[in-house]
Amino acid sequence: MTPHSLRIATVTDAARARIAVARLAAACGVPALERTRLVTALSTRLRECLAGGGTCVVSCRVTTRDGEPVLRVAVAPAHETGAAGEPAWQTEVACPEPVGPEGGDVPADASLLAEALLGADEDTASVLRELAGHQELVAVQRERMHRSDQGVLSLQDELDAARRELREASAATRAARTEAENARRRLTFVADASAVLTASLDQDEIVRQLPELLVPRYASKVDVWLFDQDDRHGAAPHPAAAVVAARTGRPQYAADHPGNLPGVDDQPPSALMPTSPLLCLPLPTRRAPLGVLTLYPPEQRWSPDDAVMLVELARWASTAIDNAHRFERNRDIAETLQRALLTDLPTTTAGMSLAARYLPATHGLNIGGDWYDAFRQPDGGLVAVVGDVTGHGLHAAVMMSQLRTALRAYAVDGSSPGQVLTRLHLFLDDLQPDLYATAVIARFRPGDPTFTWATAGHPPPVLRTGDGQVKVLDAEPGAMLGIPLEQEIGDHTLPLTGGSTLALYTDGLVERRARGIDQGIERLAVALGTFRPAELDADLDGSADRILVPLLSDSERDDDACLLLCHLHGEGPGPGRGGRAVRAHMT
Amino acid sequence: MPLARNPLSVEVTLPRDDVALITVGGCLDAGTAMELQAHLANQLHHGRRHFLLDLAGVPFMDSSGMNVVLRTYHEVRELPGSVHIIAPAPAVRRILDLTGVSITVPVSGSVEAALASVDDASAGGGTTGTRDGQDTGGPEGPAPQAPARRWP
Repeated sequence: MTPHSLRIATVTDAARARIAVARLAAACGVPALERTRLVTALSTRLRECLAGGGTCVVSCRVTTRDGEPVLRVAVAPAHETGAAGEPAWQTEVACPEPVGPEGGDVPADASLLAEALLGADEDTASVLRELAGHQELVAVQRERMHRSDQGVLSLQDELDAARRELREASAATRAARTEAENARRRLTFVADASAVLTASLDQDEIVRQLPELLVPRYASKVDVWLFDQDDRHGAAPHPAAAVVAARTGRPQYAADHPGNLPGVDDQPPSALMPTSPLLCLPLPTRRAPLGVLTLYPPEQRWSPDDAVMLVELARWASTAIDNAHRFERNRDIAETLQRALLTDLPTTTAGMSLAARYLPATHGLNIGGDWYDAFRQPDGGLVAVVGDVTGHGLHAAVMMSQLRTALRAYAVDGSSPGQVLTRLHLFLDDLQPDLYATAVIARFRPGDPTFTWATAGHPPPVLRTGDGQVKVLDAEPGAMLGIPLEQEIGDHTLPLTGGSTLALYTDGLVERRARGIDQGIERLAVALGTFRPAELDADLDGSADRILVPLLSDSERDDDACLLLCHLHGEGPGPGRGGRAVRAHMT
Repeated sequence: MPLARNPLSVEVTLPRDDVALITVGGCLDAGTAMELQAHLANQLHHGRRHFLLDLAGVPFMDSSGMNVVLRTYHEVRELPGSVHIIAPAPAVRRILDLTGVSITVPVSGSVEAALASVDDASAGGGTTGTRDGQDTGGPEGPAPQAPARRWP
């Protein structure tokens, strides 16, 4: 194929060249878009060439590249010498239907020029159409893209919302479960704690229990302020809110934010503890508060329900402490009364020693019923008594004192132990139908080589003779004093040899819940038998202690225990000579 | 505290309209006696005249327990009525004998024996409340269902 060259010196040449290339391209089957791109690029090139004032040559030919036919168009500056240099610009388009260069001939006829112009416009229009089609497509795609973006976004939103809902729902479930657990825990706690608190009648123990119950779940620390103990602990400063609680009797919450706790007044933060909220709960009684319970916050803040529960707990604690107060007061009075009644033993005669021990119950309600007594009858006889009034507390202590006095009065005429007990029985049956007592009385007379005893519903006396033999004096006893039964209580008499020791005692000394009374009596007999005679002669008080220690070692000490030892000295034939002071000991 | 350590169990059944069988379990002491007392008072209030106290389940009884027994005896003797103790443990029996309560309040080995003893007393004329000796200064004996024994 021969190259087709056109010399361009004017605008008309350029137009003709453009038309020629366009025709050629059309002839070669180059599609309109490619054709337009080709001729537009050529036009641009030629305009530059003409604007530079020079002349150029457009050459175009159909050739091949990589075996495919192409239409190559080149523009090069025209040289006067005619020597063709390298083209300055060239381009190629694929050429599906290659034709000869004549296909690009352009006649000089002006009408054809116009026709070519119109053809070019037609190409442009087709390009524009295609462009419009593309634009439309792009718009559609863009719209589609936008919509899908929107979809993705809204899907994203929905997912987020669902996730949020899920989170909220599971949080709500968790919260509900936690709340249910808390409620159950609070209920259990109040039930357990109130049982623990009210089971005790010991104020110190109750106060000790409170922190053990509350820390760490409901408080990190607990202060118990009892008004009647202010002296005991000096003037420890109390938070202002605790003082307000004490004054008003209403629960107070001291913090830099309101507590929103029902039934609890808000107070500014404590000056003593500015950073820590405090919950100050009065310990109410029917009269006036006993004190204030101050709680330091636990790890989790108090909820309104916690506050309601804690106020209730304070009420329980207060009731328990109040009961313990009354109980202790009552017990103290009973014990004081009883000690006052028991302290004096008579100055005994030579040869006869007495030693007494009274051990009040260390806990429980049993104080007040036991007594011992020893006194002289006008004829010089020495009467030793141990008794036990049924019932407990202040009432029993008072009854014991009446009975003790009545017994002394009945013995004043020199009556025998059995006669005294029989009168006492009538006295109780007539005057105190609900009062019962047990007692043992032993009488020693000066110069009498025997002694006489009688018992009424009471554990038997234990006698150790001078030779170390021990005997339980269980000869026929009388029934308990005051029970609805007519009885005459009999006396019993045994020889009294030098070195003999008679032990009178109450059941608290020998009775153990697990083992009954007889084992205890046996232990007492054994203990009494182990003394050397000299020990009893020299130190009866010490001997009494040495009996108590082993006997009470396994006692729960929930009952009074009383022991009265009557010892006739080894060298003496009997009581009645000289004087010897004995002491009564309270342990 | 004995109070918390030894809860008392008290079970009441009615073998007959006027007979309450009270089965006690646990130690009868200062901490628990009032509970038994309350049950007995309640039954008395409901018209029971004979009280059978089954003490087989009571390992220990102190003077508070005896107080309750004697108080009940006081209350029913005028109705006339009776109190019976059934099957006390050896330690309890010992205390009842030592104090002489078992002289006043009869002790039976079984519920049947106690019921029979109630019947015997009734057949014997139910004379517990009809004796006339109280106001006239005559001798006052124990209730007929108790061994009519003077002490000693």
